[in-house]
Amino acid sequence: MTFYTKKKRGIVYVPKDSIVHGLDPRTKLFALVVISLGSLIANDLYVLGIMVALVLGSVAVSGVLREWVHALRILVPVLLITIVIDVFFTAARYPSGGTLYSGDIWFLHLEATWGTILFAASMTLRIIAIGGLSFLFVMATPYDSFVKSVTLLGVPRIFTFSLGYALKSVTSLSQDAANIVDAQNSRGLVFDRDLVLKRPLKLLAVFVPMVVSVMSRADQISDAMQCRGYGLSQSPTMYRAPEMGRRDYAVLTIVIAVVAAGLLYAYCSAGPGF
Amino acid sequence: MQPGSIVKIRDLTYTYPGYNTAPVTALRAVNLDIASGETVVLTGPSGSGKTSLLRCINGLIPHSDRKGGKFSGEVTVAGMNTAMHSVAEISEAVGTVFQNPDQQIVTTSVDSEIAFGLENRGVLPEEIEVKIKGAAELLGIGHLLKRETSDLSWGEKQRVAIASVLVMQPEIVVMDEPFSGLDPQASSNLVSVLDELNRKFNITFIIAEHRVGHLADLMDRIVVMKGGMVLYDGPPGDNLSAVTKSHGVVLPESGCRVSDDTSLFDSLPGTGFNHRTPVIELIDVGFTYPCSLSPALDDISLKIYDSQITVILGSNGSGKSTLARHLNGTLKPDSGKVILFGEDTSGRQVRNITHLVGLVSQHADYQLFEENITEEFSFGPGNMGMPDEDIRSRIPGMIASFDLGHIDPKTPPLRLSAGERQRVAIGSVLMMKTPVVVLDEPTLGLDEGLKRNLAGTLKKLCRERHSVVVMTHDLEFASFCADRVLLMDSGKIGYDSLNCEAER
Repeated sequence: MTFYTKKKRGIVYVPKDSIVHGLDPRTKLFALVVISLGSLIANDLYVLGIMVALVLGSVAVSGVLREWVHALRILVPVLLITIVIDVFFTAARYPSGGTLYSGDIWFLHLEATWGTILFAASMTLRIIAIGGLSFLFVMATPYDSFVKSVTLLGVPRIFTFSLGYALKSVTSLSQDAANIVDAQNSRGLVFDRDLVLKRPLKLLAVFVPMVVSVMSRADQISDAMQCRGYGLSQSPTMYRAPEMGRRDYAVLTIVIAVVAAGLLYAYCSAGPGF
Repeated sequence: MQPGSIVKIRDLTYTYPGYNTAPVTALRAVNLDIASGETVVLTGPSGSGKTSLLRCINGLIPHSDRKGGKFSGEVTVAGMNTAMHSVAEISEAVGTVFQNPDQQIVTTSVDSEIAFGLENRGVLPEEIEVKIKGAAELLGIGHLLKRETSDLSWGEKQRVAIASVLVMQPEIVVMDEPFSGLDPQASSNLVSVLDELNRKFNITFIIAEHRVGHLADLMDRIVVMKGGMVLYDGPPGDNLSAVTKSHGVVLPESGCRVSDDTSLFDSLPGTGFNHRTPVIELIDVGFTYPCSLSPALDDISLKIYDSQITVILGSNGSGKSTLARHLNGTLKPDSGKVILFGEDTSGRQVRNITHLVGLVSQHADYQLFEENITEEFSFGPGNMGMPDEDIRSRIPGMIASFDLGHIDPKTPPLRLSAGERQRVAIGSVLMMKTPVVVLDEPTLGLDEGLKRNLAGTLKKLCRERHSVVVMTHDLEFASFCADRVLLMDSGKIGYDSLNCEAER
């Protein structure tokens, strides 16, 4: 096909034969929810460190370390903004440890304390735990099996199928966008700052074909699905339905135990509001 | 219904609604009977109603088409009146293979794709397993079952799409131009598969196709359409061409079956270009896509001259499109050089190359966006700074060259048929009057007559000292226009008629 590139972009499924890949998607989804909730509830740095360690351990055995680290770069701007704001603008809430820096830049008053630094560290760990685990979930879970799992959880098929197809389409839509930009480039349209600032209407050259591509893809897929009997049976079957195995129950037990122990430790050492 | 008829069409007329344009009648009083086990080929020029007729047989018309369409007459398929049954119900008897396999694949893995239709029918998983294996064996795709659908080649996707339809064991299979994206070798393989399926399982095949020569051994009947009407319905006999010509439809005389059959081009005129300065020169160009193990271009050295149509033939995935993108600078080589008019393109931005090399992409829909045909034709030259008067003066000629005179120039290009959109896309690049024009698979959706028109237009460009490079797997089109032919395979140039001429 024209302009087809095999390059895998962004956060996409990476096929591997690992323990993490082999887990039932429901196990992975449940672990994601539990660890995310644990990370949101706990402020204790040790507990958050354990959550991050859990995530890093999972990444290590998943075989997608390189891709995961690459994907994590997306979080760098968010982390930087979070650190700057938390370190310099939360001193009123976290004054403990005394002031380490105080000064004014333009109309902004900046103040850093040990408390704000610890708070920034906890937020950083929280983002890495939740974001990193979400990335790992996407990278180690095929769309099809994710959709089947969610359907098995009782979510109506029309929603799960749409969700799965939307996820599948991310790759094809990004390919379409690249192809359209190339095609208009070939017709002399220069994509630079001037185009956006001085001739924004010319961006229709990308926007319109993109909309057409999305709409016609949706139309054609809908036709193709009907022609293969979508909606024919009230109780469609599921080929290769995911099944929970011993390994899944073991992982769930470990995740629940570790998160519960962490939260209990945080509660005991700091009291309510830990 | 005639005895044994599995498809019966009576007085079928269908009119598409118009949005800011006049409604278009795609089918006019069509009557057709197709017997069980017959292989029928629907052919005719672009816009003749072939696809609409298929959509009536599988029930997408009237159930899933644009609101406001007018349907009259009766279509009965396997005993079901299509107006009375849903598309899903009709799918129990009719399987559909669409033109573009990419747009009918709904899941991410091959086995789940083949299972999709069976799941919808409520077939038990154990039974699905057995049926998948059977269909995969039949289509020779057993080795692909665990692959991701996005990683397959066009030909492999086409086979998966056919397997996912056949696994449902339909009595009838309708196929919309299934050969259009396939190279001659893959086409030949598909013909063999269909022939075998027809003989083994008595499946009725209804195939819409522009090129029919390669289907001669497969078809029992040919239905020639034009303007929504059936002009000829009968066996593909010797008098077929005469009959259709009398109605203004030109059919290809024969099909081209073997991808490396270079004998077609033995009679290319002696051009004596070897001693001239090339407009583009590739020196040991290599390129590998990220995450790909094998190179898309493997040390290619090539000179392209002006006043000449260079046709680069090759199967799907041979590297033609990658080469096209190197010629206009949207891809830069990993190794080697691309010299354009004596200058290395490696340090040049695409914007500085597009005024020298115009590239027509394979999919017209990636280009078209303007409100009307005139604006679409003006877009490229406008970006290059061509004066408005020059642009306006060139548009009528371009419209005539591409046989678009019957369409109001104020019509939005996106409202046109696929073949018409393709012609507008090509014309909009030719309007830029670049010294070099590269066309990537320009004949998708074009019938025989339109291909000849396009060949004529390209030849005229060459007479004006432009250089034209055509990437295609359409041997028929190549035979219409090529001054020089190259064969590409696995990223390498395997044959160059210019070298052979020099050797002779």
